[in-house]
Amino acid sequence: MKKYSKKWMQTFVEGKFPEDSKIVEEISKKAFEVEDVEIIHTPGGVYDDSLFEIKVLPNRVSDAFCLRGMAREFATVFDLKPVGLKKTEMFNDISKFTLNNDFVEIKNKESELSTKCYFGVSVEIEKQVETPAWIKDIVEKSGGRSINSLVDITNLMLYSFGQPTHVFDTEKLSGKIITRLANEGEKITLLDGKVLELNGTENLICDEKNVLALAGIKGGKVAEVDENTTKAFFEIANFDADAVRLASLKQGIRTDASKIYENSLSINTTEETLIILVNTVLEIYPNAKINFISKKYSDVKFESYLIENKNNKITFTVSDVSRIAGVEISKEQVLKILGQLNFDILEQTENNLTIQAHKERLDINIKEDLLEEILRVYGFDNIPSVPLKVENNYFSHNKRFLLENFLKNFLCREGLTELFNYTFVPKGDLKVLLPLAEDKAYLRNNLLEGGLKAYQKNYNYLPIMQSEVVKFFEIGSVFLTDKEERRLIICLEDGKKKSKYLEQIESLLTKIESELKIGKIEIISRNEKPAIVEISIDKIVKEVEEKNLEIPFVQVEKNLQDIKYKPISVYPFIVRDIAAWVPENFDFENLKQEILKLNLQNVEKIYLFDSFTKKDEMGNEKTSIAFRIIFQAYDKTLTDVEVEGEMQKVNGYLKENSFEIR
Amino acid sequence: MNNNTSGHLHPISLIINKVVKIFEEKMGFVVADGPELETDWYNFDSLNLPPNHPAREMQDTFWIDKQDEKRKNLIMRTHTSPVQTRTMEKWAKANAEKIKNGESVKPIAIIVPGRVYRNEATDATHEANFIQLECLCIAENASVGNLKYVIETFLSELFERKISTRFRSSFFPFVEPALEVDMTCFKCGGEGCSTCKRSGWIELGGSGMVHPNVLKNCGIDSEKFKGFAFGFGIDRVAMMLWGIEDVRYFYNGDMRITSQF
Repeated sequence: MKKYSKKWMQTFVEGKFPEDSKIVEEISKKAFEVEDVEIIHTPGGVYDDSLFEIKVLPNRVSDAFCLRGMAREFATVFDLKPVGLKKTEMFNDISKFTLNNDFVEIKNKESELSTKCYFGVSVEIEKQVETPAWIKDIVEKSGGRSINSLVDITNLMLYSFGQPTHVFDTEKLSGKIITRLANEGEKITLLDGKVLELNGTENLICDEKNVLALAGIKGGKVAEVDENTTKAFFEIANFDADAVRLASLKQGIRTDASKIYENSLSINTTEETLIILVNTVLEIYPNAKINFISKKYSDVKFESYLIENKNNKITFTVSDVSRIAGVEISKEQVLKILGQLNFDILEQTENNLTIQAHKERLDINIKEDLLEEILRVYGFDNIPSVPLKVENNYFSHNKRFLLENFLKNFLCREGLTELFNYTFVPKGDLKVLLPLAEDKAYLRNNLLEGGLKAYQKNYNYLPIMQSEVVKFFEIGSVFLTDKEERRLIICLEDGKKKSKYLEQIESLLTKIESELKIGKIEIISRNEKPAIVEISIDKIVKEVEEKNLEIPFVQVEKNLQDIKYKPISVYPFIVRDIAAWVPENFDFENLKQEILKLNLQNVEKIYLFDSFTKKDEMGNEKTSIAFRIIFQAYDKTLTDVEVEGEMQKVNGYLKENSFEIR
Repeated sequence: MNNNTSGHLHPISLIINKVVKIFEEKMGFVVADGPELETDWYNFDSLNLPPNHPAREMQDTFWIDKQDEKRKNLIMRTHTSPVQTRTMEKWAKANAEKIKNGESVKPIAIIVPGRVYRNEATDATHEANFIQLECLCIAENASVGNLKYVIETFLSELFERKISTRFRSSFFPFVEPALEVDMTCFKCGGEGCSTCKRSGWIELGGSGMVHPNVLKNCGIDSEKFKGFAFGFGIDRVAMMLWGIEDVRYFYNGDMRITSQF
C-alpha cells in the first residue's frame, strides 16, 4: 500500500483528474483497490491535496509504484494525456559528462547474477542548501521524511519515478565501488544503526574496505551523507528480483526499494532516472561539478534488458478481444483503448494489430496480458452476462461425491448429525514441516481418534442439546504413508454401562449395504465404548454401481435463509432437575411460560424429560413430572450461588401453585 | 433413543449440496474432486506459479516431510485449483486424437468443493483448513460474459433473490484477465446493512479466464480452447448467511453448532 498525492500526480498529466469519489470508484474497478483518501489542508485551512492510499498489484509494481506511473494509470482510466518529462529534468544531455566505468566493479559471477546494472554519478557542490519546498512536499506526502538536500533527491527519484537510488559521501569512501556477494558471518551496520550478520548469500555494495549497503534493500552507516556533505556519489542501480527477495526475506527487512526490485524493475526506468537525477542535481545546484558518470552493466544479465524490450511487442486480432469478452467490441473501440493505454501501434492490417506496450510495463508479455488491459479499460461492467448451459459435458458427477452425498443423507435421515474435525493432530504417519503447534504436527491417519474426542465433548453437551444419545458421523480424508483415503466414522453412544450401540451401528451398515447393493462393508476399526466404527469410503466407491447412487438431495429443499442460528456460549452451563407431583389439568407448556415470567436470569433452556401417572392409596390418579432448567451466561461462568437464587424463585412458584416437589 | 428425529447436515454440506444442485440443473456442471495432499507441481507449477513465487513460502503453505514416488515435494493443497489441472490433463489426453483430427469435443464444466489448507495463525476469521468451492469451464468460446452469467446465476439461485456482480481488475498467476468478484449484498440487496458493512457489496472471491500457460501445462491449445474459473470460500458465505461468529466452529466437532442446521 502506498500514498499517492493527487496534486503531484496531476503534474504528469494534461487535463484535470475528476473529483476524488470518482477516482476511488473507477480506479478500484479498473486498476487497483483504493483503500483510503486523506484530504490535506494548508495551515490556513485551505484545501491543498488528496492523498490516495492504493494497493498496487504485484505485477504492476514495476510501473505503478510511483507518482508518474500511477498518474499514467489515472490518465488511462480517465482518458487523459500523460506529459513527457519536464524541461528541467532532461535539459542536459548526460553524454557530455566524463564516463568512468572503472569506478564500479561488479565483482563475481554471483554478483553479476544479482546486479542487472549499476550506474553512478560523482558530484561536487560548494555547500548544501535547504531542500526546495516542492521536493519536501512530494517526499513527505509519499510517506518519507526530508533529511537533507542530497538524500531528498534520492527519495524524489523513488517516489516520483519508482527508481530506488542511494547517495554516499565520497569523502567517506575508500577506493572504488564493488558489488559482491557477502561472506558468511560478515557484518553491516545499517543507516538506522541496526547491525546485521550476513549469511553469505546477500548481494552487497562495498568499497575497497567497507560494506556500504545491502544491495537493493537498505544503505549502511559507513558512507552516510549528512548536511555537511559536499562530495557525493549517487547510486542508480537495478537488482535481480529473486536475489533481493531472498535477502530481504532472510534478513527480515522490507523497504520500498526491496518491494520494487523483488517485483522486477525495468532497466529503461534505471536508464531514464540517471538522466533525471543528474538534471535534478543541476537544477538545485546549478554550479555543481559532475565529476563523472559510471554505467556498468552485468554481462550475465544484459540479455534481460534485450528480452524486456522484445517481450512487450504483441500481435493480436480484434476478434481475439471480442472472443474473450463474449461480446462484440469494435476495432475503433480497441484502437481508442490502445491510445488510452499509451501503447504504440507498430503495425496495422485489416485484422491484425501489432503493438508495443509501454516500456515500464513488464507485466505485458503475451496476448492475454494485452487482452486483459483492453477489457479492463473497456470496463468489465460493460460486458453483459452471456447465458451458458452446458448440454454435453464431457464429465459426469464424481462417483465418490455421489456416494458421500448418499451416505450423508442416509445417516442424517437415521438421526445422526454431521460434524468435521481437524486434519492436523499430535500423531500420525506424515509430519508437517512447519506446524502451527506441536499438537498439530501430523496429518490424521484415522478419523476414530478425532471421533473419540468429539464424543467426549458432545457427551457433556447432551443436556443442553436436549438429547440422551450422542449420534454423529464424519466424512473426511486421512493420510497414510502410502495413500490418502476418504473415510467415514459413525458414533452412537449414551454413555450408560449396559448399552450396546455397536450393534445398532452395524445394523446401519447392513442397511447401507442393501441400499447400495454391495457386499459386506469392511470395518477398519471399531471402538466398543463409546461405540464408534470407521470404514473406508474409497473401498465402497470401487464396488458400488453408479446407478445405485441416485442423488437424494433431501436436505436441499430446506430454504437456507430460513434456518436461524443461535450463537453458543463458551461458558459452562449448570443443570437443575426438578421432580414434582403436579396439580390436575397440568400442561407443561403453561408451566414453562409461567416460569419464564419469573424473570429468571441466565436461563438457557427449560424442558420436560420424564412424566408418569399412578394411582394413590385413595385410588386417585396422580402425575409426576421431571423437568430440567439449564442456566448459562454468555459473558461469564455462573456460580452455584447465582443459580440457587434463581432456583428459589422457581421452588417458591411451584409451592404456591400446589406442586408437590419430590 | 428417539429414532424418528432426523439428524443434521453440517452447514457447509448444506451449502455445497445446494450449490451442486444449482450448477447441475441450471448450467450442466458436475462435481470433480482430487487429493488434499498434493504435489507442488499440481498446486503451484501447473497453475503458473513459478518456483520463486512468494506464495510458495513456508509461511503460507504446509509442506509435508515426504516426497512422492516421482520425488515431487508434497504439500497440503492451498486451493482447490489443482483439481482443475488434473481434470484438464485427463480431458486433453482422452480427447487428443479427436482434437488432432479436427473433430469437435465435449466441453469441461466442473465444480470442485473441497478442503484446503493455509499455514496461518487461527482466529475467529482465519482457519488453517477451510472449504473452498471452485468452478471451471473449458470450451471453444468460453468468455468473460459466460463467467459473469455463471456467477450471477449461481448466486441468485443460492440466495433466492436477484444478485448482481461487480468485477474488479486483479492479479492471480493462473488467470488472465484476473478478476475479483463482488456481489450485491444478499441481505439488503445493495442498500447497505450490517452484513455488507453498509457498502451494499460483499467480496466473494477470485475469478478469470484460464491463463494460456495453465492450458499449455495441461496439453490444451490456448488458441483453440478458452476457459474460465472462479473460486470462493464456503465458510465465509456460511458465516455471513447465518451470522456464525467464529470459523473454527465448523471444524471442532461441536454438535451444538451443526445440530442447529
